[in-house]
Amino acid sequence: MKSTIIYDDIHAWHVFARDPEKVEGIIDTNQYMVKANNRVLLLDPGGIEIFSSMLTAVLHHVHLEEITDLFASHQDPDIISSLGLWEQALPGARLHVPWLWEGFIRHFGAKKIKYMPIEDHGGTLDLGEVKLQFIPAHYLHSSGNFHIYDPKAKILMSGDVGAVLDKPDAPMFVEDFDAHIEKMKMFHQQWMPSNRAKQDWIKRVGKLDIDILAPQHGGLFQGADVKRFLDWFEELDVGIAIP
Amino acid sequence: MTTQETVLIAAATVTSELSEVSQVAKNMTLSVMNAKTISQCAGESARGFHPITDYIEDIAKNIDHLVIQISEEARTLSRLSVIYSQSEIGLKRYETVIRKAKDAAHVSSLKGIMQKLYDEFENCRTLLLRKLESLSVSLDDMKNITRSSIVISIMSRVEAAGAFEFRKDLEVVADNLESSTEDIRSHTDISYDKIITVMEQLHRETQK
Ligand SMILES: [Fe+2]
Ligand SMILES: [Fe+2]
Repeated sequence: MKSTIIYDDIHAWHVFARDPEKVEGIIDTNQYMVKANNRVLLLDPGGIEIFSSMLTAVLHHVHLEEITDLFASHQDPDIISSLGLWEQALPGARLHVPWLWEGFIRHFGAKKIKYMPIEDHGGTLDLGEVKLQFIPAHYLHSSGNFHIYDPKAKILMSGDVGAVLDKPDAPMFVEDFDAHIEKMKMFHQQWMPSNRAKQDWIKRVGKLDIDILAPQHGGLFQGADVKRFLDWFEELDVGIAIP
Repeated sequence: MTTQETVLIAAATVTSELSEVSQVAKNMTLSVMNAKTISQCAGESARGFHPITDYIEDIAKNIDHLVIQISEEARTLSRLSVIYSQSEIGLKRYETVIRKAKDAAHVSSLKGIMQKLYDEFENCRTLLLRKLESLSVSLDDMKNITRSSIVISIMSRVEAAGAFEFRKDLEVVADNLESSTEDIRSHTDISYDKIITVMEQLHRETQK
Protein backbone atom coordinates (compact mmCIF):
# COMPACT_ATOMS: atom_id res chain seq x y z
CA MET A 1 0.00 0.00 0.00
CA LYS A 2 1.31 3.44 -0.92
CA SER A 3 1.89 5.82 1.91
CA THR A 4 2.37 9.57 1.65
CA ILE A 5 2.94 12.20 4.30
CA ILE A 6 0.67 15.12 3.47
CA TYR A 7 1.53 17.31 6.44
CA ASP A 8 4.62 17.18 8.56
CA ASP A 9 5.16 19.54 11.48
CA ILE A 10 4.89 18.98 15.23
CA HIS A 11 2.15 16.57 14.28
CA ALA A 12 1.82 14.76 10.96
CA TRP A 13 -0.81 13.51 8.53
CA HIS A 14 -0.29 10.33 6.53
CA VAL A 15 -2.45 8.89 3.77
CA PHE A 16 -2.39 5.18 2.89
CA ALA A 17 -3.97 4.10 -0.37
CA ARG A 18 -3.62 2.44 -3.80
CA ASP A 19 -2.92 -1.02 -2.45
CA PRO A 20 -1.50 -3.05 -5.38
CA GLU A 21 -2.39 -6.28 -3.54
CA LYS A 22 -6.01 -5.29 -3.12
CA VAL A 23 -8.50 -8.09 -3.88
CA GLU A 24 -10.19 -7.75 -7.30
CA GLY A 25 -13.52 -6.04 -7.29
CA ILE A 26 -13.30 -4.04 -4.07
CA ILE A 27 -13.07 -0.28 -4.30
CA ASP A 28 -9.86 1.57 -3.44
CA THR A 29 -9.94 3.60 -0.24
CA ASN A 30 -7.79 6.28 1.38
CA GLN A 31 -6.94 5.67 5.01
CA TYR A 32 -5.51 8.49 7.08
CA MET A 33 -3.37 8.68 10.18
CA VAL A 34 -2.69 11.69 12.40
CA LYS A 35 0.44 11.27 14.45
CA ALA A 36 0.87 13.55 17.42
CA ASN A 37 3.47 13.23 20.15
CA ASN A 38 1.63 10.90 22.49
CA ARG A 39 -1.41 10.01 20.47
CA VAL A 40 -2.00 8.45 17.09
CA LEU A 41 -5.38 8.51 15.39
CA LEU A 42 -6.44 6.33 12.46
CA LEU A 43 -9.22 7.83 10.34
CA ASP A 44 -11.54 5.50 8.46
CA PRO A 45 -9.10 2.61 8.83
CA GLY A 46 -10.83 0.62 6.07
CA GLY A 47 -12.34 -2.74 5.28
CA ILE A 48 -11.37 -6.26 6.29
CA GLU A 49 -9.79 -6.98 2.91
CA ILE A 50 -7.17 -4.25 3.15
CA PHE A 51 -6.43 -4.72 6.85
CA SER A 52 -3.14 -6.59 6.40
CA SER A 53 -1.78 -4.04 3.92
CA MET A 54 -2.96 -1.15 6.05
CA LEU A 55 -1.45 -2.43 9.29
CA THR A 56 1.77 -3.23 7.46
CA ALA A 57 1.91 0.32 6.11
CA VAL A 58 1.18 1.78 9.54
CA LEU A 59 3.96 -0.26 11.16
CA HIS A 60 6.49 1.56 8.99
CA HIS A 61 5.64 4.74 10.87
CA VAL A 62 4.35 3.98 14.35
CA HIS A 63 4.60 1.41 17.09
CA LEU A 64 1.25 -0.29 17.74
CA GLU A 65 1.09 0.95 21.32
CA GLU A 66 1.19 4.52 20.02
CA ILE A 67 -2.21 4.13 18.33
CA THR A 68 -4.74 5.40 20.84
CA ASP A 69 -7.74 6.44 18.77
CA LEU A 70 -9.78 5.34 15.79
CA PHE A 71 -12.35 7.36 13.92
CA ALA A 72 -15.13 6.11 11.66
CA SER A 73 -16.84 8.86 9.67
CA HIS A 74 -19.83 6.55 9.17
CA GLN A 75 -20.86 2.90 9.21
CA ASP A 76 -19.91 1.68 5.74
CA PRO A 77 -17.90 -1.54 5.37
CA ASP A 78 -15.17 0.22 3.35
CA ILE A 79 -14.77 2.56 6.33
CA ILE A 80 -14.62 0.28 9.34
CA SER A 81 -15.36 -3.40 8.69
CA SER A 82 -11.77 -4.12 9.79
CA LEU A 83 -12.64 -3.01 13.33
CA GLY A 84 -12.72 -6.54 14.80
CA LEU A 85 -9.19 -7.11 13.49
CA TRP A 86 -7.83 -3.79 14.74
CA GLU A 87 -9.24 -4.52 18.14
CA GLN A 88 -6.98 -7.57 18.45
CA ALA A 89 -4.00 -5.25 18.34
CA LEU A 90 -5.55 -2.23 20.04
CA PRO A 91 -7.85 -3.49 22.79
CA GLY A 92 -7.41 -0.27 24.75
CA ALA A 93 -8.10 2.11 21.87
CA ARG A 94 -11.04 4.47 21.66
CA LEU A 95 -13.33 4.54 18.66
CA HIS A 96 -14.99 7.83 17.77
CA VAL A 97 -18.18 7.20 15.79
CA PRO A 98 -21.44 8.99 15.03
CA TRP A 99 -23.73 8.05 17.93
CA LEU A 100 -26.30 6.93 15.37
CA TRP A 101 -24.16 4.04 14.19
CA GLU A 102 -22.64 2.67 17.38
CA GLY A 103 -25.01 -0.29 17.66
CA PHE A 104 -24.56 -1.05 13.97
CA ILE A 105 -20.79 -0.82 13.99
CA ARG A 106 -20.72 -3.28 16.88
CA HIS A 107 -21.75 -5.86 14.28
CA PHE A 108 -18.18 -5.69 12.98
CA GLY A 109 -17.19 -7.72 16.00
CA ALA A 110 -15.33 -5.38 18.38
CA LYS A 111 -16.28 -5.80 22.02
CA LYS A 112 -13.35 -4.50 24.01
CA ILE A 113 -12.76 -1.23 22.22
CA LYS A 114 -14.13 1.86 23.92
CA TYR A 115 -16.90 3.50 21.90
CA MET A 116 -16.92 7.29 21.96
CA PRO A 117 -20.21 8.35 20.35
CA ILE A 118 -20.10 11.75 18.61
CA GLU A 119 -23.24 13.82 19.05
CA ASP A 120 -25.05 15.22 16.00
CA HIS A 121 -23.58 18.70 16.44
CA GLY A 122 -19.99 17.39 16.39
CA GLY A 123 -17.22 18.00 18.89
CA THR A 124 -13.45 18.01 19.26
CA LEU A 125 -10.71 15.51 19.77
CA ASP A 126 -7.67 16.76 21.62
CA LEU A 127 -4.50 14.98 20.53
CA GLY A 128 -2.21 17.29 22.51
CA GLU A 129 -0.42 19.10 19.71
CA VAL A 130 -3.66 19.58 17.82
CA LYS A 131 -7.35 19.81 18.56
CA LEU A 132 -9.27 18.12 15.76
CA GLN A 133 -12.86 19.09 15.01
CA PHE A 134 -15.66 16.71 14.14
CA ILE A 135 -17.58 18.53 11.41
CA PRO A 136 -21.19 17.36 10.91
CA ALA A 137 -21.75 16.03 7.40
CA HIS A 138 -25.00 14.14 7.90
CA TYR A 139 -26.69 12.74 4.79
CA LEU A 140 -23.46 13.14 2.81
CA HIS A 141 -23.99 10.34 2.21
CA SER A 142 -24.66 8.59 5.49
CA SER A 143 -27.39 9.81 7.83
CA GLY A 144 -24.90 9.98 10.72
CA ASN A 145 -21.65 11.28 9.29
CA PHE A 146 -18.68 13.43 10.33
CA HIS A 147 -15.65 14.93 8.64
CA ILE A 148 -12.51 15.88 10.52
CA TYR A 149 -10.96 19.30 10.33
CA ASP A 150 -7.46 20.07 11.49
CA PRO A 151 -7.13 23.86 11.95
CA LYS A 152 -3.34 23.67 12.26
CA ALA A 153 -2.66 21.57 9.18
CA LYS A 154 -5.69 23.10 7.43
CA ILE A 155 -6.78 19.67 6.30
CA LEU A 156 -10.38 18.60 5.99
CA MET A 157 -10.83 14.85 5.85
CA SER A 158 -14.08 14.78 3.94
CA GLY A 159 -15.12 11.12 3.86
CA ASP A 160 -17.12 10.28 0.76
CA VAL A 161 -17.45 13.95 -0.21
CA GLY A 162 -14.97 14.68 -2.98
CA ALA A 163 -14.52 10.98 -3.62
CA VAL A 164 -14.07 9.21 -6.93
CA LEU A 165 -13.78 5.52 -7.65
CA ASP A 166 -10.60 5.79 -9.66
CA LYS A 167 -7.97 3.49 -11.20
CA PRO A 168 -5.71 1.70 -8.70
CA ASP A 169 -2.70 3.71 -9.89
CA ALA A 170 -4.41 7.13 -9.83
CA PRO A 171 -2.20 9.91 -8.42
CA MET A 172 -2.54 10.77 -4.73
CA PHE A 173 -3.46 14.40 -5.52
CA VAL A 174 -5.86 15.63 -8.20
CA GLU A 175 -3.74 16.83 -11.11
CA ASP A 176 -6.32 17.94 -13.63
CA PHE A 177 -9.43 19.30 -11.95
CA ASP A 178 -11.51 19.59 -15.11
CA ALA A 179 -10.84 15.99 -16.06
CA HIS A 180 -11.56 14.98 -12.47
CA ILE A 181 -15.06 16.50 -12.57
CA GLU A 182 -16.21 13.89 -15.04
CA LYS A 183 -15.17 11.11 -12.68
CA MET A 184 -16.74 12.75 -9.62
CA LYS A 185 -20.09 13.60 -11.09
CA MET A 186 -21.82 10.22 -11.05
CA PHE A 187 -20.41 9.37 -7.62
CA HIS A 188 -21.79 12.50 -6.00
CA GLN A 189 -25.13 12.49 -7.81
CA GLN A 190 -25.79 8.88 -6.92
CA TRP A 191 -24.35 8.56 -3.43
CA MET A 192 -25.28 11.96 -2.01
CA PRO A 193 -28.99 11.97 -1.28
CA SER A 194 -29.81 15.50 -0.19
CA ASN A 195 -29.35 18.92 -1.82
CA ARG A 196 -30.38 20.57 1.44
CA ALA A 197 -27.74 18.68 3.41
CA LYS A 198 -25.19 19.54 0.75
CA GLN A 199 -25.93 23.29 0.87
CA ASP A 200 -25.79 23.25 4.65
CA TRP A 201 -22.40 21.50 4.56
CA ILE A 202 -21.05 23.92 1.92
CA LYS A 203 -22.04 26.82 4.18
CA ARG A 204 -20.29 25.28 7.18
CA VAL A 205 -17.16 24.13 5.38
CA GLY A 206 -16.91 27.33 3.33
CA LYS A 207 -15.95 29.15 6.54
CA LEU A 208 -12.99 26.86 7.19
CA ASP A 209 -9.49 27.61 6.03
CA ILE A 210 -8.63 24.51 4.00
CA ASP A 211 -5.35 23.71 2.24
CA ILE A 212 -6.12 20.08 1.58
CA LEU A 213 -9.49 18.44 1.15
CA ALA A 214 -8.89 14.76 1.72
CA PRO A 215 -11.64 12.36 0.60
CA GLN A 216 -11.87 8.67 1.42
CA HIS A 217 -11.55 7.58 -2.23
CA GLY A 218 -9.46 8.95 -5.08
CA GLY A 219 -7.28 12.04 -5.38
CA LEU A 220 -6.90 14.71 -2.68
CA PHE A 221 -7.61 18.36 -3.53
CA GLN A 222 -5.09 21.02 -2.64
CA GLY A 223 -4.71 24.76 -3.01
CA ALA A 224 -7.11 26.33 -5.48
CA ASP A 225 -8.70 22.98 -6.29
CA VAL A 226 -10.35 22.98 -2.85
CA LYS A 227 -12.45 26.02 -3.66
CA ARG A 228 -13.01 24.72 -7.18
CA PHE A 229 -14.43 21.56 -5.70
CA LEU A 230 -16.70 23.40 -3.25
CA ASP A 231 -18.04 25.62 -6.05
CA TRP A 232 -18.63 22.65 -8.33
CA PHE A 233 -20.34 20.67 -5.57
CA GLU A 234 -22.56 23.61 -4.67
CA GLU A 235 -23.94 23.70 -8.20
CA LEU A 236 -24.40 19.95 -8.52
CA ASP A 237 -27.86 18.44 -8.30
CA VAL A 238 -27.63 15.34 -6.12
CA GLY A 239 -29.92 12.45 -5.18
CA ILE A 240 -30.82 11.87 -8.81
CA ALA A 241 -31.79 8.20 -8.59
CA ILE A 242 -35.35 9.05 -7.51
CA PRO A 243 -37.40 8.02 -10.56
CA MET B 1 -14.11 -27.38 2.72
CA THR B 2 -12.95 -25.28 5.66
CA THR B 3 -13.20 -26.62 9.20
CA GLN B 4 -15.97 -24.16 9.94
CA GLU B 5 -18.00 -25.34 6.95
CA THR B 6 -17.52 -29.01 7.88
CA VAL B 7 -18.49 -28.32 11.49
CA LEU B 8 -21.54 -26.26 10.53
CA ILE B 9 -22.70 -28.96 8.14
CA ALA B 10 -22.14 -31.61 10.81
CA ALA B 11 -24.07 -29.59 13.39
CA ALA B 12 -26.93 -29.00 10.94
CA THR B 13 -26.96 -32.71 10.07
CA VAL B 14 -27.13 -33.67 13.73
CA THR B 15 -29.97 -31.21 14.32
CA SER B 16 -32.06 -32.41 11.40
CA GLU B 17 -31.39 -36.12 11.98
CA LEU B 18 -32.24 -35.72 15.66
CA SER B 19 -35.51 -33.99 14.88
CA GLU B 20 -36.39 -37.13 12.89
CA VAL B 21 -35.42 -39.20 15.93
CA SER B 22 -37.66 -37.07 18.08
CA GLN B 23 -40.58 -37.73 15.70
CA VAL B 24 -39.95 -41.49 15.84
CA ALA B 25 -39.81 -41.36 19.64
CA LYS B 26 -43.21 -39.65 19.66
CA ASN B 27 -44.63 -42.43 17.50
CA MET B 28 -43.09 -44.95 19.88
CA THR B 29 -44.93 -43.36 22.78
CA LEU B 30 -48.22 -43.52 20.90
CA SER B 31 -47.59 -47.10 19.95
CA VAL B 32 -46.76 -48.08 23.53
CA MET B 33 -50.02 -46.56 24.78
CA ASN B 34 -51.83 -48.68 22.25
CA ALA B 35 -49.86 -51.75 23.38
CA LYS B 36 -50.83 -51.09 26.99
CA THR B 37 -54.53 -51.12 26.13
CA ILE B 38 -54.16 -54.33 24.15
CA SER B 39 -52.21 -56.09 26.84
CA GLN B 40 -54.77 -55.05 29.43
CA CYS B 41 -57.53 -56.60 27.31
CA ALA B 42 -55.43 -59.72 26.80
CA GLY B 43 -55.27 -60.11 30.59
CA GLU B 44 -53.39 -63.14 31.89
CA SER B 45 -52.24 -64.31 28.45
CA ALA B 46 -50.22 -61.07 27.98
CA ARG B 47 -48.94 -60.78 31.51
CA GLY B 48 -45.30 -60.71 30.38
CA PHE B 49 -46.10 -57.80 28.06
CA HIS B 50 -46.86 -55.29 30.83
CA PRO B 51 -43.30 -54.72 32.00
CA ILE B 52 -42.22 -54.60 28.35
CA THR B 53 -44.54 -51.67 27.63
CA ASP B 54 -43.06 -49.92 30.66
CA TYR B 55 -39.59 -50.48 29.24
CA ILE B 56 -40.63 -49.09 25.86
CA GLU B 57 -42.11 -46.06 27.57
CA ASP B 58 -38.84 -45.49 29.41
CA ILE B 59 -36.84 -45.86 26.23
CA ALA B 60 -39.00 -43.30 24.42
CA LYS B 61 -38.58 -40.89 27.34
CA ASN B 62 -34.82 -41.37 27.42
CA ILE B 63 -34.59 -40.81 23.70
CA ASP B 64 -36.57 -37.61 24.06
CA HIS B 65 -34.26 -36.29 26.78
CA LEU B 66 -31.20 -37.21 24.80
CA VAL B 67 -32.56 -35.51 21.67
CA ILE B 68 -32.96 -32.26 23.64
CA GLN B 69 -29.46 -32.55 25.05
CA ILE B 70 -27.83 -33.40 21.72
CA SER B 71 -29.66 -30.61 19.88
CA GLU B 72 -28.40 -28.14 22.48
CA GLU B 73 -24.89 -29.49 22.04
CA ALA B 74 -25.20 -29.14 18.26
CA ARG B 75 -26.21 -25.50 18.69
CA THR B 76 -23.19 -24.85 20.89
CA LEU B 77 -21.05 -26.61 18.30
CA SER B 78 -22.23 -24.25 15.53
CA ARG B 79 -21.51 -21.26 17.74
CA LEU B 80 -18.04 -22.53 18.59
CA SER B 81 -17.29 -23.18 14.92
CA VAL B 82 -18.04 -19.55 14.11
CA ILE B 83 -15.75 -18.35 16.91
CA TYR B 84 -13.09 -20.81 15.76
CA SER B 85 -13.31 -19.56 12.20
CA GLN B 86 -13.17 -15.89 13.26
CA SER B 87 -10.13 -16.64 15.34
CA GLU B 88 -8.50 -18.46 12.43
CA ILE B 89 -9.26 -15.65 9.97
CA GLY B 90 -7.85 -13.08 12.41
CA LEU B 91 -4.73 -15.11 12.93
CA LYS B 92 -4.22 -15.54 9.18
CA ARG B 93 -4.58 -11.80 8.56
CA TYR B 94 -1.97 -11.08 11.21
CA GLU B 95 0.33 -13.76 9.80
CA THR B 96 0.08 -11.93 6.48
CA VAL B 97 1.12 -8.71 8.22
CA ILE B 98 4.13 -10.46 9.75
CA ARG B 99 5.11 -11.69 6.29
CA LYS B 100 4.61 -8.33 4.61
CA ALA B 101 5.99 -6.10 7.34
CA LYS B 102 9.36 -7.84 7.67
CA ASP B 103 11.26 -4.62 6.99
CA ALA B 104 8.84 -2.30 8.81
CA ALA B 105 10.47 -0.32 11.59
CA HIS B 106 7.85 -1.27 14.18
CA VAL B 107 7.05 -4.86 13.26
CA SER B 108 8.35 -6.02 16.64
CA SER B 109 5.32 -4.44 18.29
CA LEU B 110 3.26 -7.35 16.90
CA LYS B 111 5.08 -9.97 18.97
CA GLY B 112 2.77 -10.00 21.98
CA ILE B 113 -0.33 -9.91 19.81
CA MET B 114 0.77 -12.90 17.74
CA GLN B 115 1.30 -14.95 20.88
CA LYS B 116 -2.13 -13.93 22.16
CA LEU B 117 -3.75 -14.81 18.82
CA TYR B 118 -2.05 -18.23 18.70
CA ASP B 119 -3.16 -18.94 22.28
CA GLU B 120 -6.73 -17.88 21.54
CA PHE B 121 -6.83 -20.00 18.42
CA GLU B 122 -5.52 -23.05 20.30
CA ASN B 123 -8.11 -22.43 22.96
CA CYS B 124 -10.88 -22.30 20.35
CA ARG B 125 -9.66 -25.51 18.80
CA THR B 126 -9.61 -27.25 22.19
CA LEU B 127 -13.16 -26.09 22.96
CA LEU B 128 -14.35 -27.23 19.56
CA LEU B 129 -12.73 -30.64 19.97
CA ARG B 130 -14.18 -31.03 23.45
CA LYS B 131 -17.66 -30.22 22.22
CA LEU B 132 -17.28 -32.69 19.35
CA GLU B 133 -16.13 -35.36 21.79
CA SER B 134 -19.04 -34.76 24.12
CA LEU B 135 -21.44 -34.91 21.16
CA SER B 136 -19.96 -38.20 20.05
CA VAL B 137 -20.44 -39.56 23.59
CA SER B 138 -24.07 -38.42 23.63
CA LEU B 139 -24.67 -39.99 20.24
CA ASP B 140 -23.03 -43.14 21.54
CA ASP B 141 -25.54 -43.10 24.41
CA MET B 142 -28.28 -42.93 21.82
CA LYS B 143 -26.77 -45.94 20.09
CA ASN B 144 -26.80 -47.82 23.40
CA ILE B 145 -30.46 -47.03 23.85
CA THR B 146 -31.21 -48.46 20.43
CA ARG B 147 -29.32 -51.60 21.44
CA SER B 148 -31.54 -52.12 24.45
CA SER B 149 -34.52 -51.26 22.31
CA ILE B 150 -33.61 -54.12 19.98
CA VAL B 151 -33.50 -56.50 22.95
CA ILE B 152 -36.92 -55.27 24.07
CA SER B 153 -38.37 -55.75 20.60
CA ILE B 154 -37.10 -59.38 20.58
CA MET B 155 -38.61 -59.93 24.05
CA SER B 156 -41.91 -58.43 22.94
CA ARG B 157 -41.98 -60.76 19.96
CA VAL B 158 -41.51 -63.76 22.29
CA GLU B 159 -44.27 -62.52 24.59
CA ALA B 160 -46.57 -61.82 21.65
CA ALA B 161 -46.17 -65.42 20.52
CA GLY B 162 -47.82 -66.66 23.76
CA ALA B 163 -50.73 -64.21 23.73
CA PHE B 164 -53.22 -66.42 21.85
CA GLU B 165 -55.93 -64.32 20.18
CA PHE B 166 -53.97 -61.08 20.86
CA ARG B 167 -50.88 -62.45 19.22
CA LYS B 168 -51.38 -60.50 15.96
CA ASP B 169 -51.96 -57.18 17.73
CA LEU B 170 -48.95 -57.56 19.93
CA GLU B 171 -46.83 -58.63 16.98
CA VAL B 172 -47.72 -55.31 15.34
CA VAL B 173 -46.44 -53.59 18.48
CA ALA B 174 -43.21 -55.58 18.25
CA ASP B 175 -42.89 -54.73 14.54
CA ASN B 176 -43.41 -51.04 15.24
CA LEU B 177 -40.79 -51.06 17.93
CA GLU B 178 -38.36 -52.83 15.67
CA SER B 179 -38.79 -50.44 12.77
CA SER B 180 -38.69 -47.39 15.08
CA THR B 181 -35.47 -48.66 16.58
CA GLU B 182 -34.04 -49.21 13.12
CA ASP B 183 -34.99 -45.63 12.13
CA ILE B 184 -33.45 -44.11 15.22
CA ARG B 185 -30.33 -46.16 14.80
CA SER B 186 -29.82 -45.04 11.20
CA HIS B 187 -30.40 -41.33 12.01
CA THR B 188 -28.00 -41.62 14.93
CA ASP B 189 -25.37 -43.37 12.81
CA ILE B 190 -25.48 -40.62 10.18
CA SER B 191 -24.98 -37.99 12.91
CA TYR B 192 -22.25 -39.96 14.63
CA ASP B 193 -20.31 -40.52 11.41
CA LYS B 194 -20.43 -36.80 10.59
CA ILE B 195 -19.10 -35.86 14.02
CA ILE B 196 -16.31 -38.43 13.82
CA THR B 197 -15.31 -37.16 10.35
CA VAL B 198 -15.04 -33.59 11.65
CA MET B 199 -13.01 -34.74 14.65
CA GLU B 200 -10.61 -36.52 12.33
CA GLN B 201 -10.28 -33.44 10.11
CA LEU B 202 -9.57 -31.27 13.13
CA HIS B 203 -6.99 -33.74 14.46
CA ARG B 204 -5.29 -33.83 11.07
CA GLU B 205 -5.13 -30.02 11.06
CA THR B 206 -3.71 -29.99 14.58
CA GLN B 207 -0.90 -32.31 13.46
CA LYS B 208 -0.14 -29.94 10.56
FE1 LIG C 1 -19.71 5.54 2.51
FE1 LIG D 1 -16.58 5.27 1.04
